[in-house]
Amino acid sequence: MPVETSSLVIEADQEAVRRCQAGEADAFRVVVERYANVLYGTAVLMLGDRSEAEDAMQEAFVSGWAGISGFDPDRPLRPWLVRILVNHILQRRRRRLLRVIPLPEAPLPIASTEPGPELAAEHAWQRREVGVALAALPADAARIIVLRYFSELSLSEVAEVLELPVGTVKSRLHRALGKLRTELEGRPGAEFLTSRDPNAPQDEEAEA
Amino acid sequence: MNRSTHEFDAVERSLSEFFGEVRTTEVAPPNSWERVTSRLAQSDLGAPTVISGGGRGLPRWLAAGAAAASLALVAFLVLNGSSGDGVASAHEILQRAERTATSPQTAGVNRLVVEQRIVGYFLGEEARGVPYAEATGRVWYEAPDRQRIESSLVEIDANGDLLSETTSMAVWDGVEQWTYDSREQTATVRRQDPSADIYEQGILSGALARSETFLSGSHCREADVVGEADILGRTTDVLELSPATCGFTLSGWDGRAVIWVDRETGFVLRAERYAADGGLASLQEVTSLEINAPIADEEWRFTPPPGVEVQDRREDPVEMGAMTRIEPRLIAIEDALALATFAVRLPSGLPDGFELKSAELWWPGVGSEERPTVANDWLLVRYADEDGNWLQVSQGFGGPLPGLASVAPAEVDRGTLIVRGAEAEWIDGRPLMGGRWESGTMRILVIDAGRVGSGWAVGPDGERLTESPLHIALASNALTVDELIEVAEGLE
Repeated sequence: MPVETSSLVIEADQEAVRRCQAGEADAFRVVVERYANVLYGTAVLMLGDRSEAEDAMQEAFVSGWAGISGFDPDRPLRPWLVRILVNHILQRRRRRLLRVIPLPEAPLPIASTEPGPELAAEHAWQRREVGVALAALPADAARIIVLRYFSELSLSEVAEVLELPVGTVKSRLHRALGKLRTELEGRPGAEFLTSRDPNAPQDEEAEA
Repeated sequence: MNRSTHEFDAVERSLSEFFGEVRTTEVAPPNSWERVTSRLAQSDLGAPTVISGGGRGLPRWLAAGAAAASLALVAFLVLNGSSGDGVASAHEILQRAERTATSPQTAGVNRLVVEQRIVGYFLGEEARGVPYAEATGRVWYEAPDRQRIESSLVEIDANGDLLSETTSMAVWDGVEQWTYDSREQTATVRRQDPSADIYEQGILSGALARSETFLSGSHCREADVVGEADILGRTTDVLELSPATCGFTLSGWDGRAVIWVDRETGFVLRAERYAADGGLASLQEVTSLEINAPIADEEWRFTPPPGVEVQDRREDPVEMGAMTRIEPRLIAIEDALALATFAVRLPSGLPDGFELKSAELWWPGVGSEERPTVANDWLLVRYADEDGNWLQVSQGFGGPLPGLASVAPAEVDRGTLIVRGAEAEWIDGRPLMGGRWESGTMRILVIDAGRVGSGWAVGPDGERLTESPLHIALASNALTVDELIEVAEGLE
């Protein structure tokens, strides 16, 4: 669902953008720290590689800084940054960047809140099923789902990012969800993912 | 309510839960701002340079997904069997390669010294065949916990001029882990997590990444054995893979690919990736390979180069206690039976139409200053029929309470009974991500395995946990409790 950007965040974004436009590079740090996670996560989902995702995120911020002087502070910042990121990702895929031999990260400590291995496995299995189904979709279908549900853009913002009419985005999103549902159906252990939940909240925008 | 919208509710909910998990696990590195400013400084806003290095490999969830994706191969093999004429089929070879890439020990490889190189080429007619970057690396690996990696990356422009050169190094000696990056001029030492599978963390599989060698996405491709070839004196099967028909994250190529798979071990020794226009996009090749040869102890030592800043993070915690890190291992049932540290029990009879689909061996992770020997692994075997009905049998260290049942709310239908002469518990439903219990989705029967665990674990304070009862849980979306009991009674 599109994120409900609070007025405080909007005002803070506007302030940061204006300071950036005044040449205060430090103000851009606010932008980077606020949107690093959503850009990075979006890039991970689209590229499937943390190293490349980190690189794409950095490229997007560099381009963002380069173009921020022409950005209208009254417009939402998130979709603008996501659009820059997506452009970089698409360029990256075209360039076929070589992946380097990756160095491993140190294993991170993982706090356990799980009551046992089976529940952890159940959760992991569920996540995996969705991840695998998502990865099996055509690129354009997966991309539109990621932008809508992970990057939390509204339909009109997705349309802006992808340079498509809103109506086209609606129909493509609908088809993408249908494909995802088809991918999920019949997976042993994943039928719960496609079970109907009459109590689930409705998405007014998607229903429109 | 619009029917189609209603239909998508559950899918959207699942996406929301999945992406919520991704948000918690896939967070931007803490030094993102510093990296961006560094790049800004280098780029002068005109020509940003590539900051490579710091490679972080395939996201854990995606790696897990990739493993799950190979379920399709497992199912294919189960349903279709081998080619039966003594010649391995393309899918059999790919499955073997997948297993070896995940765990070389399944191929009998306990020590490995490999040199490899990856070359990326400019695309398009004008610069076709001109390399723009080359990465080389040497890896030493000794199961289960020692590894050394030395790698370098050279980036060049279309004129052949050097753009950058970076060398990196990482050493795990079984106790500590050192990493070094020449560009950053820093070295870091940490305590090595004894529960971590260093091989799985993208080293050998980094240079010969499953995502790059097309194994993970192999369900999206047609594969054909097109011949055999000799590489480094080893016989390889040559496979040609068609362009992917699905997948957006597991591959970075649009054209065909050719891979050379070592017949003895399943290692991919060479991979050529082509662009859609037919031009060679990248080449990965192993240039030397030693298997199970002795490795000198000095290879496991790391001495920081002079002038390098050393960050000592050995006091940072690496542990959180028992059963905290669980890694899936999708393996053949025969391997599961061989590797499990307890006597596995499997159904002697299955409901009509049910067949074995997959087996996963899970290794619980335990960390402490005293290096533990963890033997409390956990096995999950799945069966299914053609109609999507499934049965899973899990067994292993379960702690004092069965995991699934312990989190169910009080109002969920449940009961106790005697199965195989011991107390058992059944429960209706399953927990969804987010902790919500969904009744009616499946029946779970947890039975006492009637034995004390063969393994043990180290608790968060270093105490040795010997109360490790083994239990078996049977779950199905279709079978009744009585039918689950029947299966349970037939376990042997």
